[in-house]
Amino acid sequence: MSEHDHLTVWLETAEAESLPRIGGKGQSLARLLQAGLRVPAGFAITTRLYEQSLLTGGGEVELAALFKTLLDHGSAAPEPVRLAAAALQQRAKTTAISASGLQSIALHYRELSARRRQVDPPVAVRSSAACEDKSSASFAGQFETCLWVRGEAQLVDAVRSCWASLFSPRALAYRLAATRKDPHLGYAMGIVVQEMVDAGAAGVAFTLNPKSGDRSKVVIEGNWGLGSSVVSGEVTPDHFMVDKVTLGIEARRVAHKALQDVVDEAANTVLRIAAPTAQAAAPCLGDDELLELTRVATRIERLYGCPQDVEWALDRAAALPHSLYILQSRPETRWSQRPTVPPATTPTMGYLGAMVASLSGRKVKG
Amino acid sequence: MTDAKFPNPFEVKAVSGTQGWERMYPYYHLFSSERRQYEENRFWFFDAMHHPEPMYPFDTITAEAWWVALSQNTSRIFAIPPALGIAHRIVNGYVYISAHGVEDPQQIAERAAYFEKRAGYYFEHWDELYAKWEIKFRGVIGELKSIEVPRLPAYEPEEVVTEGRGISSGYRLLAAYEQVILNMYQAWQYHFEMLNLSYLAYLTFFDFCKQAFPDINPQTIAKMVAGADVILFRPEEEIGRLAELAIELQLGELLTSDVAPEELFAKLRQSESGGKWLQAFETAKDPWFYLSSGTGMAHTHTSWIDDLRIPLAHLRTYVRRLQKGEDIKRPLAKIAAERDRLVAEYQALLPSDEQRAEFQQRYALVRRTYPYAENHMFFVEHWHHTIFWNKIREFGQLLVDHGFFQDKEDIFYFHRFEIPAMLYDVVTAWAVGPGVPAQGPYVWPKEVARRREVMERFRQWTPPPALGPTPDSITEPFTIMLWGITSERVKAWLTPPAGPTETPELRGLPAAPGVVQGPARVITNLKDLDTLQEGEILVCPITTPSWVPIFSKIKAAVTDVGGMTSHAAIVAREYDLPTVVGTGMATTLIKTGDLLWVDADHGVVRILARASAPSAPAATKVS
Repeated sequence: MSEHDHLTVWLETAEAESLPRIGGKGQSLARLLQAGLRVPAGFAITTRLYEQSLLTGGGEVELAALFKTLLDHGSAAPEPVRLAAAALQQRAKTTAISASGLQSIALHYRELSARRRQVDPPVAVRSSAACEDKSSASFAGQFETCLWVRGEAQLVDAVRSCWASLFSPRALAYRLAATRKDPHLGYAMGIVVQEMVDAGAAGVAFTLNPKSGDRSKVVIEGNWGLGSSVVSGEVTPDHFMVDKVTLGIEARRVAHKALQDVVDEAANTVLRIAAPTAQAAAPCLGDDELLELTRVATRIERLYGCPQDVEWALDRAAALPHSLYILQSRPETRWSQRPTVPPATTPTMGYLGAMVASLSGRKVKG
Repeated sequence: MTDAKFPNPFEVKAVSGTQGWERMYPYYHLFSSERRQYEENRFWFFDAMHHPEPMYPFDTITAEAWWVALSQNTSRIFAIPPALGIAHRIVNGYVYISAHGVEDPQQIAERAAYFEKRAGYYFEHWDELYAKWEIKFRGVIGELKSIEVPRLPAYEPEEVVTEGRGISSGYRLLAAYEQVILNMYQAWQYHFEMLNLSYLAYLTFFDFCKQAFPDINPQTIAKMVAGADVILFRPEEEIGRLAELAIELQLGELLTSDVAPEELFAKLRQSESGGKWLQAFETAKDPWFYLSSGTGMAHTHTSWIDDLRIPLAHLRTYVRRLQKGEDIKRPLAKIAAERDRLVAEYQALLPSDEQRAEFQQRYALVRRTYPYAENHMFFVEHWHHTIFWNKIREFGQLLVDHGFFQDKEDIFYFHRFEIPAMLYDVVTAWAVGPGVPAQGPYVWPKEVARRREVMERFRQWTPPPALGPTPDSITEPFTIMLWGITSERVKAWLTPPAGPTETPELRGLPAAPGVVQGPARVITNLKDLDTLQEGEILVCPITTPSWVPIFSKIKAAVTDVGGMTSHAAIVAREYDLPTVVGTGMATTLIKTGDLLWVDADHGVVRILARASAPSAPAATKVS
């Protein structure tokens, strides 16, 4: 047990009910990793450090004031809200982080470095907010993600960026909407720091067909390079549909993928570049990969007991199945909330089907 | 949406050179000016699945018998609430059918009360009724077999006097004909006794699967329902057993030699092992060789027992496969296990206990009732009809003996109401005495020639896929399930096919998966089946279970008509033969020798290259 356990925690050992401490993303990744899924190794920085760094020295008061302004005036008073938010963002970027906090972060980062046998290993630093109510729409995409972060100093900067993103206009708008449903909603930021997958291809997978709600299918979308181009919705990805039971690949739409996100190692940054022509027209996933992804996504769905929205990436430097990483999984929200079976395919069939079924149910013996 | 429409049945022109064709069919089987208002406002589609060829006049008894039996069960016996029967018409020799439904909610409600009681009774007592059915039907077959077609002797046999019979062979001949006809009609009455309900149970399960899993592949549903051990596969299994016995008795070389049956049997009789094999062969024949090579609904569909060259050809294929070390048995355990796996896994994907329970209930009903749907065909269209067509040939032979026809097959050029008159003509002349002329020999041979010509012209005509106004949507369940006719298919029919310079593409239902490429062999007449070469892609109106033994020869099959529950689809899945059914016009668009690409995962067929020269199917004998 690390003495810094209340500030940072390895994903591989984080406890089951850790959402308030490491946020929804952290909890989910910890669960997946501990269930044996291939999730990039990493650690979470807890909400305790956030509170310690931001909510002391007047920060808590500022935050309360911001929320009150937001609630009282909402989007009708953008200026006061913007000013209050800006102040908090500034606080996030400049506030002192405790020595034990910095040490804790450094210790874990160096451990990652040792494991990978790499100096300043590139990591993904992702916000993991501890305010996501399970049943309502998540704050997906509202908070900061920093990709290809190298070095301790840059890591700390990235942490601050994530904290600051709590107060972006978009995040606050979501916060407002969510508080109206649940006035006691907490608002704190955990952070997940993981080894960065140098993705040759990446994207999303749904464990049902988002178009029809069919739960026997896995729908996969992907592009070359990092998954950010797909998740952002700015590139039309390749689209595939695989049946979970027969493992038949039933749909295959190869898109013209003009853009892709790649890592510029020299500049330590992620660039959006024009795809080479041949690549733009080529499917980013082969059959083996589609089937492996289907199997893994189905396994995740079984783990959670409900349809999932999964982010995946294929490591350039490895071969299947070791190349397939799960970067995130969260409950699908649109279809899972539907309470009833949709009506029959035609009124005639509905009528006949119900009659015949009741006849058989009522009377058939044995 | 195009302005294209299907022709009005009253605007369909007769085929040139077929004047007077109407007299070849019973009057009520034709479109009629008196019923025009009713007829031209209905949607009629060409039933290529059951009657892909022009109807021989006599053969229309099968169309009519199912017209009545299917319809009465839906409309008058079980009163399936929203449905009524299916009407038939014949145009230029081809059968068109129209499904009727009930619109009035009050009438539907009234029918529902009857349906609940009656369908309920059958579902409740299904197993015992099915057992009874088989006994009844074997009785019908037995009765048909026992009907004697007497010849007309110079002197009546003595028993007429010594037994005090009081009736002559002439009378018995007339009575025999009536008996045979009623027997055929009765066979079809029984055919549909349990079929409509069994299809309804299937539809109920199918529909639930589509509700719960909107993207589910219909092939998968059919796989979940299919029985592993179905009677229709017995003939092929018997061939397999005979092939294995041949190897065991070291008769492989003899049985793969391409000699005529009589010569083969003579050679076999010369040895003890040969005699042993022959005995097994004789045993297998009845009833398993009473398998039609077509639907059984036309007299031209030769059954294995009528031409032993067919099963012997299949036997040769199997012996050769065994000699190569191939496994010829259908893996029943594997098929059943896979089916059970699909069922369990789909069920597990349902999100609630209620849905899982309903799935289970509907599935249990279909498993219980579907064997009837799979098995009835062998009893009726294969076993019974093989005997029926041959019985009618006996009447044909009698008429040949009396100079009415030159060939006993000529009887099939006349519909069933025309035959009694001929028989009475024969009997009256015979009754008066030797040398007394009947009128028939002066009249009928000419008429046979005329009708033969008309039939030939019918064969050159391409029947439009449908007639009459396009319905807004196809809702009658059997139309969709069995014939594979959906609103999408109807729209596709209305879209003209691509011109010769484009790569024509056909779409159909993927009945069994696989992607292959190969040369096409278009077969519209079953007699040409033996022109099929190894590795070709069969293109035909519809395939039937008796074609199964050739499946090992071909790479894929493409059909004009058929739904997921059609026989073509069922056998294709069982034999893992990539098959696309229901393309609508494969046999019209594709020519023998065309290079085809068949994606049976998605139901797409493309003509990659045209045959360089039209290749006429060689009319070789079965070898």
